[in-house]
Amino acid sequence: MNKPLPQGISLEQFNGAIADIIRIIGDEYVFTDDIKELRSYRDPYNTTRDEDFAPSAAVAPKTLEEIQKILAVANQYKIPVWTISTGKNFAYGGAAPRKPGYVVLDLKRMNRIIEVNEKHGYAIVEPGVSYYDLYNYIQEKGYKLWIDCAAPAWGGIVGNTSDHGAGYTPYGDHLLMQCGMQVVLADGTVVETGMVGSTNSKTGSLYKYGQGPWVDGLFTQSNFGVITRMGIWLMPEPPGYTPFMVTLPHEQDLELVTDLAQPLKLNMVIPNAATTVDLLWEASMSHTKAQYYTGKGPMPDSARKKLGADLGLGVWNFYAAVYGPPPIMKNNLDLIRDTFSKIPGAEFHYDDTRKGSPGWDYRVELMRGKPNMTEFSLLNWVGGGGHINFSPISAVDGKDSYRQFDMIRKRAHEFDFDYIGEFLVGWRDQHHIFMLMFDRMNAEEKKRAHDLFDVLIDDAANHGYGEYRTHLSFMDKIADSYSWNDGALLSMQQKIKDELDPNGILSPGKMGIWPKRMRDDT
Amino acid sequence: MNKHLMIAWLLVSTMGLLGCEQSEPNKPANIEKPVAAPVTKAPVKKVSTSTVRSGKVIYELHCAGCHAAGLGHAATMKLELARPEGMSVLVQRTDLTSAYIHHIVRDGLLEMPPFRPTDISDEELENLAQYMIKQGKAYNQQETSHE
Repeated sequence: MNKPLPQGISLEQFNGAIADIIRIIGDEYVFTDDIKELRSYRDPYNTTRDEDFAPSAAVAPKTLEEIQKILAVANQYKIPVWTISTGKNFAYGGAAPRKPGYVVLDLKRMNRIIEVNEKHGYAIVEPGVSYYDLYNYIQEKGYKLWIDCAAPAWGGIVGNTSDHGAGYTPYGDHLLMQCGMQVVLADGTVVETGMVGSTNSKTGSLYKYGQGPWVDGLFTQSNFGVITRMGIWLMPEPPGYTPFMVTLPHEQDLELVTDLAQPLKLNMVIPNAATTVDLLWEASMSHTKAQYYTGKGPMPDSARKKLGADLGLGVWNFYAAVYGPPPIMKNNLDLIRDTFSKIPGAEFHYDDTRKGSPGWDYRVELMRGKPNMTEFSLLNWVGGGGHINFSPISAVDGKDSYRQFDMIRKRAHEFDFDYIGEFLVGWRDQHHIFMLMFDRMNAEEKKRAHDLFDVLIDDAANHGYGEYRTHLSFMDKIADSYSWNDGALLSMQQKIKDELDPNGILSPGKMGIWPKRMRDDT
Repeated sequence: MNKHLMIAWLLVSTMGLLGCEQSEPNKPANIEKPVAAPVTKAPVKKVSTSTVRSGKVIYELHCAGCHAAGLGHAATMKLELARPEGMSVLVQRTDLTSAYIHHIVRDGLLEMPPFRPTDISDEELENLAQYMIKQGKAYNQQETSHE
């Protein structure tokens, strides 16, 4: 394989830029060897070819000043840099850049936990801080605070929040809980958002908005700057916690459980990010498909029934929790029980009977912000590990949920894949995650997965659904699906891009936002 | 339902009073105000500035989540199904070599993604390999002495 290079950059220019970066940060954290070093910057789970996303180099600064100097070099040579934090954005591209030849700006080494404030419940962290790091730090210090982590939890606060990720405690909407950030613009200017922008402010992590436009969102799922620090609110450890699961025996119960959960969520009787999880997702925490079905295509109903019966799982399984002093928990649980008991065949489960079951145990940990990796067991379902997530938003509405599930399930089966999915139930929306699993060593299967994903974007758009996040391969297509008024939204984003980053060096193509000089090529 | 909801509201609304008095929020530390500095032209030699973590620390941070013994560990579950008995828990094995561990960590394997040099440096990777090999030997010696 030829050395991947940024588009329009000669090997000589590239080497010049790398030499300049080595002068800034030394050569210990400048990686250019495609075989020995850069293989770890691939996306191992893509649906196309590794070389579609192969970087030319990765550079890992430790300080803000080093980032400024690296961006100066990138501007000088017009070399695109692709920013990652902990680099675990698997299912959406991992650490890999949007196009071959980009230089990955790896911020993993910027891993300081700058402050944890127990009274006011917040932390300020750098991009390299993982959920494990922050959790362990809080445990060591004995702070009575919880984090809210994604699953799997090896990701980081800054990366996940800026990609609009979610968790499972009452603080599950990560961007909602973000407060203040420090950003380096393409020209090296450092901006502090919110209250920190004012002199001697003590409220930078307490009040999000400062005065004037709230700009933090501009730096999320975008390429307008490099986030180097972020404030995140942390939930005080409650005096009590009772997780529960409701198993539901029928496919149509998705409609019922969603409609019944909706007022409980909206009124915060269920305060946390609840989940409605399908049978196969649950089963994959302890079993593989081959243990129940070795034929071709999706698992047939007969095998699904046996699987559900053996593991004591429903076709759908609703997880949530109540928190607080015992009287609050009792009151709310009574109401929740009364509500879901209206579904024929619904069964309630608690720690006393489910403890020890991996599917239960990891949800119990996640809903109290304890990081774990159990969800990676999904990758065992078919084996071979390949996976990308199709992630449309739906209303917390029974008919809408079922329509979306049915749309995806039918297409998945048509392409010989299982439907494996969950709905993450927020206050007013649901993140519907369809986990498209395939054997990454099987080229035919990869292509089929890619084709299915492509069709699903069209199907969703035709039904009026948009996706909240996506893999590198599909960023352009999904950006185009937000097409109202001749794509006025994307046009505006591109205008901002051109103004803030005239040389187009920062993460070109992130979420379909291309700088002027590269727009004609795409 | 209304009654339940009302009680819930009242209880939730009093929860904010339960916290105790602690420190004031700090002024965010070290708010640097750097100016865009010119690129330095002085050559910098390769100097290791990082703190090298032990194999145990790396194992617990990056490996144990999937490879520890017991249920709920994705890789252990997979190896239990795919490999002969006694091969599912990495730190209980005696067949792993340093070169093999280096290769798999950097390259990934099937379900396992690769780990970047910023996750685990080369020195730390060697510490990890030695830790895993040592743990495997110790485990098997202990098992043998119990027989």
